Amino acid sequence: MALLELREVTKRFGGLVAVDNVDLDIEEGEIRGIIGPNGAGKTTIFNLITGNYPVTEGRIKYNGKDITGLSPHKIASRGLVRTFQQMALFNEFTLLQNVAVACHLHAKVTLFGTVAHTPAAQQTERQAKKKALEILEFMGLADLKDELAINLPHGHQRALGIAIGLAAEPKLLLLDEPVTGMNPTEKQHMIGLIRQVRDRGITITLVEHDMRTVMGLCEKISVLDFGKKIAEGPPEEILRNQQVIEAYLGAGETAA
Amino acid sequence: MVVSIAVLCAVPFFLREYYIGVATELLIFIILALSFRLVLTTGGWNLAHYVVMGCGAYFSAIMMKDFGWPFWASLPVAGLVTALVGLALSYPLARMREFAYLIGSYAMGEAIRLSWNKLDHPFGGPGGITDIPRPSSWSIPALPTIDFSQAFPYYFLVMGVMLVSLFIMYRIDRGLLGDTFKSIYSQDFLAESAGIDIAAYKRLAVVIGSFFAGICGVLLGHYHGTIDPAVFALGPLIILLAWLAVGGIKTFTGPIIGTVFFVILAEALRPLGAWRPLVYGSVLIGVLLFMPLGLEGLPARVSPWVKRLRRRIRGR
Repeated sequence: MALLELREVTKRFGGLVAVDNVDLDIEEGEIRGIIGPNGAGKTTIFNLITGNYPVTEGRIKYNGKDITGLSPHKIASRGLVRTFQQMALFNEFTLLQNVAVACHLHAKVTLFGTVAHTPAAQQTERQAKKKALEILEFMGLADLKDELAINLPHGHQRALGIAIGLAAEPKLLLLDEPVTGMNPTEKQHMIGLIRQVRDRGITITLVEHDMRTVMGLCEKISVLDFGKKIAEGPPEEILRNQQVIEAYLGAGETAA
Repeated sequence: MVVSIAVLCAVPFFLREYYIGVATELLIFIILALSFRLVLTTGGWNLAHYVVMGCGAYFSAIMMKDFGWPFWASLPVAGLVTALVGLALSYPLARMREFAYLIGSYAMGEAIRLSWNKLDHPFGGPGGITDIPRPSSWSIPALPTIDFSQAFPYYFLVMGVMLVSLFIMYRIDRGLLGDTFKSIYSQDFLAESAGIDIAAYKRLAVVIGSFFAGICGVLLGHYHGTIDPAVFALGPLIILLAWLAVGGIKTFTGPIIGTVFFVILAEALRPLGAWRPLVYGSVLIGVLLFMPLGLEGLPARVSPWVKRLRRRIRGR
């Protein structure tokens, strides 16, 4: 049984079919890439999986349980966590605060404990900070822990986005364009980080435009075009797939 | 901390009775400004906040006048009742964002406020409630009786309540709970994706903020001795927003600075008579133009100047 199963999932925005009858299985422990031309429905699929958009038709199962229609925070609390394409960080927080606040799921705070500084509440806050620091260390950001998120360079901001995701203790982490806009050195660094995250036992699924990164990083790739899944397989197979080549180059050019 | 409490204690000894009254009101407004900020840390521009305060004032006034409750019972109970009012408002509010939140909160507030206007019983209609009693005196054996109908003891009563309220709100602000609130204002989508139940935390903030607003209402109602629906209209709330804008809302001290600054400014400008509103407004606009981060952002803006000045002096 796959960790995440999409069955005949469809999303319509008015008359536009953004995602069309897609089946998708993500196996535990893999690094999966989802690619496709602009507007193919890649990010929409993420939004459907994490409950940010309601599904029009179809079912989504995670860890054997149906999660279709659950609210985003409930889905996240089950260990299905995403990062965002845009720079989504808590800009006015320090790095440590950014990650500590996301440890929330496993560090329950109470109003009384907060006001009275009960030993249990103090312990919870300390643990959240300790865990946040561990995650920052893991992502290579520990030296910057007291810096404000907004002051970070681009590459570090992406890494912080993943650190926030990790704080929610995911089993499956969805990364939306983790290397877009990075220079080659930053890309190489990020690829290494993503591999390390996987080696912690976290399944990865990523949407990415950068072909070289996807081909080098992912063991299996699913290709979307106009909301439909048109191919799936290991990178070398995808590179030779006629339908995929047509989707990217346009049918006209191959015919010519 | 110790210094500011000492100053607070010393202040009434140097003031005429009228100014003790001004200082008492100032302390109440500080609680109110911080309670508004607490809701605002989750992104909630709650325009019903003044009406919620009014709920506390009306509840306490009615309980004391019609049911003979003592002040010391009606103060905390009024806080809890307004927290419940806040809870009721918070369910629809937690589902609203941005412009809808403004209009939604305003509409709910007006619905409550205008029923005070329309219902003569028990709210007294447009005339409101008059002759609200002050807290009863404390007579402790071997000590002089403390009569809270006097300005001086009432100031200390309000000061005590303010210190407790500020302590509680400060702890919330500095803890993980405060950061969770702020994360929702900062990036609600991200907070939600990290597993934070943003609707629940928005509701919690409204409930806590409403509790303290209710306390303010009680203190203000018993201080003035009369309340009516116009006191809790949108106008005064907008003035509170101006204080917050000038003081800044990023830090806990911002609203305190803004409130103190404007209450003192309003008193200082009193001799100007008819020119007062014009000058008051000009100062407000000047601060907004030249200090967009509010007075709380002043140290950060001044410090490079100070550094440069120091360097120049050392250079010589």
